[in-house]
Amino acid sequence: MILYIAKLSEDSKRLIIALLFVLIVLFVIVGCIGTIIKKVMKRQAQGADDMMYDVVRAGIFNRKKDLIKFGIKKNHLVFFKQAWRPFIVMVAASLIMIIYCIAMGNWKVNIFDYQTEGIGTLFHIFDWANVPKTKIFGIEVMSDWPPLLSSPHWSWTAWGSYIFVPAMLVGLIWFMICVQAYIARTFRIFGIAKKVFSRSIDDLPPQEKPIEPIQ
Amino acid sequence: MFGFLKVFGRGVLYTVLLPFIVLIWVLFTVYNIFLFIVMFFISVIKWLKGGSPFADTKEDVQAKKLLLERQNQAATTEQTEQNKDALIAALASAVIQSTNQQNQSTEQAQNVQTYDAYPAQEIESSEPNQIEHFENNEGEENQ
Repeated sequence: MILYIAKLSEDSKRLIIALLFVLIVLFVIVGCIGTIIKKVMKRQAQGADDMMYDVVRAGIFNRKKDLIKFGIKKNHLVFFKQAWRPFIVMVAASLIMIIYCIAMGNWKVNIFDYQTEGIGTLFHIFDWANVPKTKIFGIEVMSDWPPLLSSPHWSWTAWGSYIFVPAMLVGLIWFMICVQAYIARTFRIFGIAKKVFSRSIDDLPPQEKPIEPIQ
Repeated sequence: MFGFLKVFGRGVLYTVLLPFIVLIWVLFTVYNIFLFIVMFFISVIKWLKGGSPFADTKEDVQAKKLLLERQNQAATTEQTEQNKDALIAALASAVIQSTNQQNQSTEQAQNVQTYDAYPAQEIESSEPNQIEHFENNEGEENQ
């Protein structure tokens, strides 16, 4: 392997170093994003503590199973309370799209079209099908930017897509965040039930531990 | 350097586990969509019955009631303890006051006796005799 790398040309060696650097940067980016998501989920899991605090303090449940069942039921209610807002946003976006289709008399609208009626009119559209390629170590890789099919331009006939696509995107991302919070709270509920009903002697307060008789 | 390696290691781990994470996320999303639809109909029925779809559960109501009772009980116990302390303090101060009064009356009685030890003498007209009398008394006091 080392002999093979040593036989390579300078350009190939530079390409390998650049690819390794890109790979390291990608892993670091994924690691940072993962850490941020983990921290956000930890904060979202505090919602489970909020919703179960009174019940745990009052000692309503005597069994772990019942506490978990209550926690899941409460989790459903909290999820619905959080998720109905993005649902309303998505419903409103859909209504606007229906009104647009009725107004334009066209029910086969392409919301991603880049010529007249889609959100693609606002972005650079590249011809990815005809991207220039080159072979490196027998693998075909991109060697240059693909040709440009369309530049950003405003189209008044695409007003429906301009409202529908961003609103649906916001609604979907918001809904996914609610789902993430639901997952975080579910794991926390199991953790709380385990902690409340733990039978670990280490967690016993000192006054409840048996005292050795004085000899 | 160690922090950078930690983040890099986490990135490798998350990249390897990404398919499973995405699978769990997709399954939960599908489940939550169905859950949302079911909760929507339940909340509509609750609203038509006159209740609130986001009202507390009966366990929450029971818990709040229990906690309020405990709080009131604790407040009553605290009040009783405070009253007891105040009563004890009042009794103690009354005892101290009466002791002080007794001491004062005893001191007054002793002072009256002291004055009787030196009976009043008739003061004669000549001044030199009075001076002699006072000088004698000062000498006795100093002794």
